[in-house]
Amino acid sequence: MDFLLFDKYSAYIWASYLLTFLTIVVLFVGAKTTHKRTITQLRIKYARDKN
Amino acid sequence: MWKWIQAFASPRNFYQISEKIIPWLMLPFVMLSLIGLYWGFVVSPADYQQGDSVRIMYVHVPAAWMSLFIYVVMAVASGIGLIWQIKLAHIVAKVSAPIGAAFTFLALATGSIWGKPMWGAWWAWDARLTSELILLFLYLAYISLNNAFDNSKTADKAAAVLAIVGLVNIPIIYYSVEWWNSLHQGSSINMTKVSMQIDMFIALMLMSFAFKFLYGALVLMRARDETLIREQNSRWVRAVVEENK
Repeated sequence: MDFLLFDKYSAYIWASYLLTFLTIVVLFVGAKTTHKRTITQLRIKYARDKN
Repeated sequence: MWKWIQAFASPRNFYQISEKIIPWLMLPFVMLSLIGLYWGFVVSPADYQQGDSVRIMYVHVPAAWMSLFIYVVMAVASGIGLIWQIKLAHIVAKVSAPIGAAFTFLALATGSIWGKPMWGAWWAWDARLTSELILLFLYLAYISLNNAFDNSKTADKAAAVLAIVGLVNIPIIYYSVEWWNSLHQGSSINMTKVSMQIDMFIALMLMSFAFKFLYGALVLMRARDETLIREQNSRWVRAVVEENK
């Protein structure tokens, strides 16, 4: 696995890939969270409308 | 075809059909990413000038391509929404903006990380970098403008005009390395030639297609929620909310 150390560029390469991974996670988790929040907000609205 | 598009563009049909499409976009994203990472880290060689730092290209370039691609999608969808009054087009434009902004940020950040060992600086006020930064500001301006109105129709129209006007920045970004003296390297791939080693090209394409599938899945996920909010007075949305208990 030594080849994954990438010589003197290791920190730059892994920082780039970590940032990419985090961006994708944030986008994906953000979309999931928005869905849950939307359903909850609509449920509250409909319950309020009923009363 | 037109009938199918009209049927799909109806909010209710879109909500139901898109739920089935999302896993079929996520699956190729995961597969292509894994193969692309293997190709980029293991199969593709180090560059004869840039050494292993060239591996940053496999996330930097696809992210930069996505930042341009998503803006074009946003502007075209805005135009369709303005001309044909298709609600779904405005929704696609609106939900694309945060995703486009994220990819633009990623292109700038990974470019900066790559720039440090190659140019000796994290940032330079170079034509390519500056025009890409303007693209990020355009995305942020679009998001802000869209959120500035309570009425979604007014917000859609105002933001659509901004998206279309901002389209002028796309060719500026693309041709900036040809029009001005730039620190940024020129394009290695165009319609007629590929001037890079074949394994580098394969890794780049794999990651690029992976990002396209991710964008598709994310747009559908976010567009479904926006559809629910805009159609909240419809019976079918009440039924969807009931089902999600």
